[in-house]
Amino acid sequence: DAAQDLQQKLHKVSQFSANFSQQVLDLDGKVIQEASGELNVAHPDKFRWQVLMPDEELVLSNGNTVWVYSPFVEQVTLLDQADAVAGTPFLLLASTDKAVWQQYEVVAQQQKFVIKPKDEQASIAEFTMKFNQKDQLIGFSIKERQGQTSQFVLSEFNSKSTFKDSDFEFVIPEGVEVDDQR
Amino acid sequence: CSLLQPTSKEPLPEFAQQTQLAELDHWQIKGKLAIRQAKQKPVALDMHWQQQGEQFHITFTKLFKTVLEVKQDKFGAWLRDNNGEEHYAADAQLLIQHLTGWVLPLNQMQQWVKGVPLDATAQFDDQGNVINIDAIVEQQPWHLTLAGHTQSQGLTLPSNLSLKNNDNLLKLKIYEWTFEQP
Repeated sequence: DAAQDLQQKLHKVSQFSANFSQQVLDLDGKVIQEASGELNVAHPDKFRWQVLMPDEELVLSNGNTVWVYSPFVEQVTLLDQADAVAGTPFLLLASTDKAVWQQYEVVAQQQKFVIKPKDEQASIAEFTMKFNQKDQLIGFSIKERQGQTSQFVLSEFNSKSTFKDSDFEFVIPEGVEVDDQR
Repeated sequence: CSLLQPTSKEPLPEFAQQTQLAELDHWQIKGKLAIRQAKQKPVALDMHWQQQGEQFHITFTKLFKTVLEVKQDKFGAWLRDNNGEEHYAADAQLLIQHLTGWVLPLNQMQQWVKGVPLDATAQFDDQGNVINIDAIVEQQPWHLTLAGHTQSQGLTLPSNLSLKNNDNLLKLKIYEWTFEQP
């Protein structure tokens, strides 16, 4: 079914790096935020989301701990993986956990998959994921139930990238405040 | 007729800009706000502020999620918090004070953010840009430092502000100003 088909496609890109550009749109479709940067994903549950423009911010996960580093406030926040990824694209992009996938209904529209949470109360109304003919992930989006939509376009997609474990570990820089919420 | 007839109709250079900035009331800001309340962890949020005359709509997002939205028009103020709960009051300043205990001079801030020292004293640099603003609003002292400016459509607007109230600090980095000429 569509869910299996999507998981197979994601399995083919279980390790990838790409550049992303993101636009956040409000209810009337107006762009209220823009960002761009680099994304690395390695199943299961490891990812590195480096925002470069307009300002540096990093979200990094080694599968257990997620670091959210904001140089703007010289602080890094530590979260449990499960809490951090709920309602974000990483939940499905990096997860191979059946229990997670069971919470979603997947509909396939050619190269595009529309993923809706079965739980009506979920804060996210819908994810979408788009692939090209070579089964490369070219974009994804998140629509919040109450408001905005975040659209991501990927470029320089490379599913042959190899990562070291240290690529998904965060070394806390000198003088940075640690906010451990685990 | 007034004995003190000014020699020329043109205001002093720094004040020509001031009148233009003060009249500017249709604008948008994309930026990042750091909130550091006394003895609390700092929070960094992406901010989109849309001003239309007396009305404003400010949206705060963190990575992919809307964490706070506040609107004010002539009928009153509305706020949706991090849990999706909605709150109403006569004006946004009251609403934020009610929810956080912090008195934010939002009416003045609508001018301060443009570098217009409403209800305040100001210091200018030699290009005529406001670099410091000092005010007492509802017995609360506010000291603003405008550390950076940017050019947009012939106007010089702040790009980096810090707003200090006792040991509470707001730091605002503005990436983009868009506005319609008054």
